[in-house]
Amino acid sequence: MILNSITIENIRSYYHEEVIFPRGISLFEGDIGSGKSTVLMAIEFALFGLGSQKAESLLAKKAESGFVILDFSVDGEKYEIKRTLKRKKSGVNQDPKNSWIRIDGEVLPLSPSELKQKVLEILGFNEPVDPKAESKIFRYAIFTPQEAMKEVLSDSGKRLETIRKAFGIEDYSIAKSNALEVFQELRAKGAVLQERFSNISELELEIEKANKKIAELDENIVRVSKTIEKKNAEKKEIILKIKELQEKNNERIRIESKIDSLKESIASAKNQFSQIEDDLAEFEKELIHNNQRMDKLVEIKRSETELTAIEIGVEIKKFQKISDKLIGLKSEKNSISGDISKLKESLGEKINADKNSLESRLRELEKEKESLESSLKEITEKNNKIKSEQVEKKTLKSSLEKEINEFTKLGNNCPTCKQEITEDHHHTLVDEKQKMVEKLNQEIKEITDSFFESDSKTKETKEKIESYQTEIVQIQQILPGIEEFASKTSKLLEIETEIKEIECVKDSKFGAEPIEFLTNLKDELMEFENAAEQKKQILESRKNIESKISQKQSGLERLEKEISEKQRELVNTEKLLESFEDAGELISKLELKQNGYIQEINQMSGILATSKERKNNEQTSIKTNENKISESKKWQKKFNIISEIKEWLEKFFIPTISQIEKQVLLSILHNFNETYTRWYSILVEDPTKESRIDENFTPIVNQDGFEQEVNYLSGGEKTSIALAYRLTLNSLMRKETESMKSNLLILDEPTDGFSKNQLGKIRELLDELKSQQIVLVSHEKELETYVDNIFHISKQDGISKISRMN
Amino acid sequence: MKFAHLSDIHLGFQKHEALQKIEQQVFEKALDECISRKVDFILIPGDMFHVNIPEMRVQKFAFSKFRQVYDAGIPVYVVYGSHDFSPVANSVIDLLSEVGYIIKVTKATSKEDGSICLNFLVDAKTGAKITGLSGLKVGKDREWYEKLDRASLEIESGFKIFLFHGGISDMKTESGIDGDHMPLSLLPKGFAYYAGGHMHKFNHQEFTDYSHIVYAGTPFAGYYADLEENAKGQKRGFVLVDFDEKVNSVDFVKLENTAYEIIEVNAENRKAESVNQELIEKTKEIDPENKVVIIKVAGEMTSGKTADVDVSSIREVLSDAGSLVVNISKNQLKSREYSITNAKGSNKDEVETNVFAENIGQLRFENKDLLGEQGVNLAKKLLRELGQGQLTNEKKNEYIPRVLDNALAILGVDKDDS
Repeated sequence: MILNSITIENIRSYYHEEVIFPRGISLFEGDIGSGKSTVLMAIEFALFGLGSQKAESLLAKKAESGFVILDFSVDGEKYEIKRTLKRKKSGVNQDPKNSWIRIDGEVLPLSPSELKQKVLEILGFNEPVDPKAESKIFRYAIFTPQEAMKEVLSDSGKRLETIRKAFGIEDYSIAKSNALEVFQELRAKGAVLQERFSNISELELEIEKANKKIAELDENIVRVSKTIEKKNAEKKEIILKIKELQEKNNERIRIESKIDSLKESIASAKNQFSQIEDDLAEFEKELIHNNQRMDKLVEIKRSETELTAIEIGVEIKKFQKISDKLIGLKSEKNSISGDISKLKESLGEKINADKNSLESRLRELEKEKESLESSLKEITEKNNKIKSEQVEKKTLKSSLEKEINEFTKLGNNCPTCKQEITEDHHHTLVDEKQKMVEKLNQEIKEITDSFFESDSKTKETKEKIESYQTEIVQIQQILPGIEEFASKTSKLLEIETEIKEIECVKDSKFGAEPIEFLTNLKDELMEFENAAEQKKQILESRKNIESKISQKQSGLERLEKEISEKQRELVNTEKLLESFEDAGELISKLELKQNGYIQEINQMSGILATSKERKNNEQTSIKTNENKISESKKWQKKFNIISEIKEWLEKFFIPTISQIEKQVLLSILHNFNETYTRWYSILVEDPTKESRIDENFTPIVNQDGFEQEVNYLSGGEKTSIALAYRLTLNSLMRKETESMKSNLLILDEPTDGFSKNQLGKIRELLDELKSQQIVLVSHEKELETYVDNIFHISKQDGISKISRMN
Repeated sequence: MKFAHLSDIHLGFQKHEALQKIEQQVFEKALDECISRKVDFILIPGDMFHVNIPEMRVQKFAFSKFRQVYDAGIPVYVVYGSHDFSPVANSVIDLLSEVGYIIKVTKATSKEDGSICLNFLVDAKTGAKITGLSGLKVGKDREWYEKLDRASLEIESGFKIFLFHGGISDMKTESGIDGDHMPLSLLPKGFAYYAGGHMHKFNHQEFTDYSHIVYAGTPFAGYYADLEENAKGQKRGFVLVDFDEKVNSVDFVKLENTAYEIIEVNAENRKAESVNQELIEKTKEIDPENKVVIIKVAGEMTSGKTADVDVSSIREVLSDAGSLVVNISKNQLKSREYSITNAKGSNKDEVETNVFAENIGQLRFENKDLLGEQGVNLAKKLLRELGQGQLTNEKKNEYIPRVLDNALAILGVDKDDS
């Protein structure tokens, strides 16, 4: 695997960063806490998902979602993978809708756990897909996070399991366990097969018995067949004889039947003859009856009219209509006469008054009334005016009187300005006012007089209007009665005229009761036409009967001739019959004999068939048994094959797997130990200390021949061992197994606890590794000189930034 | 006049707290002894510390004790050992020397011809002339000795002491530390006392021209093997030398450290299981409380993994029973079954082919497909098929029939026969 690039968005302290990974050794350096390890976490997250990481801690705080896109190559093939984290109410989770892998330019949307499975497959990591766990192989061989570095030293169980899986050693124990399953399966199969061919000898015995039986049956079949043959020949002779006799007998029967048929046809002819004679007598009778009817019909004569029955029908309808109308008019006339007499009663003499003069009187009255009403209105208005004038004057008068009164009280003071005035002047003012009061009194009197005058005039006018109104009402009540009387009277006249006219029409050529007359006439005419038709029919019938009679008579002649011919033939045939004798008895005797033979033959055939059937059965059973034997032998053969394979597995294959497993393990262990020791000696200079790998792949440190407890090793030593171990795994996996397709090595703070001297060793180590791509994360500036590419990670305002330095 | 000779103290070597305490106690006891015995000076030829810069805890108690020694007016003469020297960095020795608690004796100058010239340092009180060379990392010091201007040292008169840190091949030692030992002849002749370091067992020998070549040995332990030796009864302490114009006596002052138990199991030609069993039984027999327990398992087993000899659980049992520390040596334990020498191939495929071929030779069958090369191919094909694990989302009751069907098909067995 080679990393090409990574895009990080909203992951931990990163907002958005894109890094292109070059080949060679790349150092990501920066201060502690600047976000170096996050880059590595993002790589691992993209490849394998969360593992034991908490999604909450990976997603940037406050961000709703974040993602990582990792572009990498394996065996020259490019892959791109995206995983997304999404914050929901329930917490942060991977977003399955936003996770995919691009292979060969094609995007495959996969769920987070499917992605891990795919990546393991691409990388050839032989390990189970547990979405809650990191890839152990990745963790050991490619990238170990800083905090997990020293786990190599303690977690021996998991380490061995991982190594066994990674190097495919586990496959051998799986193979062994499965081989045992195969062995058990074959053993079970063998037992089943053995059961199937245990019956061979028993079957062979049965076949022998059946063959003997067949020989016996064959003998019997031959014997019976011969007897049947003989009997058949004898039977055949008898059949021939019977046939001959039956032919003769058949001829006789034929003649007898001919005589019977002749007799029958003579009798039938005679019968026909008498039938025809009866028919003729019947025809005669019919003729006579027809003649009698004819005579009666001839007497019916035609009525004296030129009209046809249909025309008469039309006339009748016409008259019926007139009559109906007359009746309607009469009843209307009665109703109107009634109305007129009622009007006469209610109006009395006024009924004869002139309508037009009444109407003109009415208009006159209305006009008169109108003018009176308008003059009344005028008078009323005038009165109102006078009244108000009177009130005014009266008010003025009383105010003047009041002033006069006050003047008198004031003495010589001005009533307005209260200043003293002269007595003359005082008198002049009072007199003046007094004069005006007198004048007003005069005027009020005049107004009162005129008011009384107009009031009497008003009364008079009102009376006049009332009398006019009474007359108008009277005329309005009479007017419609007079109108109705006039119209009804003229309508009555019209109806009477119409009745007279109709009655004139009625008295025409058909007398006083034309309908009755016409109906009788029509009936007579119908009777005549009917008689004529009957006559015609009688004539046709007569003609018909006469032709039938002549036919029958010729038939009679023919029958007479035929009868005499048949009788002659009958006599001849009877003579022929006498020449045949009766063969029936002989035939029945022969048939009896024949039946005897048939029975005998049937019996024999039955015996023969049974024997054949039995033989057949025996043969079938032989065949079945033979099949069974061959089947059993097939099973036996299969059993033998399986037995050999079983033995092969038991004695050879299974024990050899264990040997191979051990051998392979040894060979890997050997290489592992060699490589590990080399890395270790590069990193640790202390000659008193040596480290090796034991059979369980546990790193053991010896000092002076004594095993060192891991807990008492210094930090630098622990780092060295862990680093040496991981470098060994990495290089061995690349070399020894095809399972890991990785040229990549990621080192997270690999120099934790190293002395300056040891830091210097890293250069040697990196050169030795010969990895195509190494990603180094460290806060040690010292390493800058050993690497090809430097990336600087810094944190500003809580946001991490990556910049390439060279 | 008296001087003390201590070496290979290896302060800071112990990792377990209990042993760290003992390490400190023994060191303090040794120097207390020197003070109470009123020695005139102390020699420490190297490996006073296990590393050039030990942890602060160690420095603290070391400084404190050297302060006492200094206050008592006893000078301490030292050279670097292979452990407390660093060619690139400082050493705590330099610090002690800088504050004046100890004195580095090596005063070397290079001459034009490339030879190394050493100067003497004279002890003020006794007039003893002291010089020496530090130990370097493996083998490097030999070059120095070869370049050493011995003649100038040899012609010097007086009571001369030479401090060195390294093995001498002429000395009869019971192995101890392997490595490059140098011949005695590389040391300058005629010194009154040769104070040696680096060898962890007390050793005192005399040679012509080289009187009193002495290794004081470690006072407690500087290597894991030292603890094993201790358990086997090795005496530990320092050397006390009485002198005037010459060495009058060389005495070993024994220092107690702690109690030990040792369990040794010979695994030769046995199965891992039986080795384990013996180990458990022997563990039961001892009382580990407050003791250092040494376990040694060695020999080639016939079968089983060396990892099957489960020492870690025994370590736990002993720890629970109150042992100070449990040291285990298993590196001489081998297993014939897992020995690499009889590998059947260099990769999986080769191994499979070879092992199958090896075993198929003995079979006799009518079905020729099961034999020879065909048989091997069949076996390999079957192995591939049967080795396939359960698929994701596949249930066991789907997996087994699938594998069975495929396997039977490969073996040519009709599935529907039953």
